[in-house]
Amino acid sequence: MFGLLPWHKYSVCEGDKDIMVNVELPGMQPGDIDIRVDERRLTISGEKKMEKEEKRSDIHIFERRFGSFTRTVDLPVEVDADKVKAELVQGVLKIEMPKKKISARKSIPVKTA
Amino acid sequence: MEDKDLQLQEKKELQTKAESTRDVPVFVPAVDIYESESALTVVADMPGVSADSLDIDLDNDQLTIRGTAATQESEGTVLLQEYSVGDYYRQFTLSDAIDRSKIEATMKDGVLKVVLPKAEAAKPRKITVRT
Repeated sequence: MFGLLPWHKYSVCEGDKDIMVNVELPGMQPGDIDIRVDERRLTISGEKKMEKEEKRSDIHIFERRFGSFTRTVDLPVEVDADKVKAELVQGVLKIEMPKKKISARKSIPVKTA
Repeated sequence: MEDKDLQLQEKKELQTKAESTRDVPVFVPAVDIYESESALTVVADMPGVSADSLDIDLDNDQLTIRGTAATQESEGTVLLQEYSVGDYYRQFTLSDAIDRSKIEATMKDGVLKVVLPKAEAAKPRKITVRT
């Protein structure tokens, strides 16, 4: 099906406290991007629209991609969906996902009989 | 138009020409070039580049665009890195028919748009026929 193969690439980094995802999406507006966080999955979808221009009589080169896309990445740990922040800076989408705090592990002493 | 959406677009790394004083890869930005009656427009995808880190040079008939993308911090473990960040560089040869003094460039959301108005002589002119 068309539009399922992404033309944009991801960068995913895991730090101590959060997971950072960067995606290059030049020319997109925040309203055209949909971000969903679901347990251990991040789904980014959207549509890159062609700029509305005056009538173009001749197209000499047409390399830039347009259209809708959607892509899901699996995350290594659960993130706190309420605290996810996303920012679009100069065409780069930056998503910061704080990891869910794991309750401290308890060590269980082994008793001898 | 061919099935453009099915192709995974790779960032094309430039092989020569662009001297770089920094140790970053140099990429060829994807462009659209189209022409209307009054001007030629070049639109280039250069994510991460701001107006300050952009250089547009016009030298005789060579239009050169060069931009430096902001580095993307990657602290911690890299789980997936499908692209690298570097400079963008591309050159175009313009015809004489451009009015060089009226070239305009705008940079927004990582997209550079350069409008090159055609010189008066090159615009198609309607010739009124007198009776």
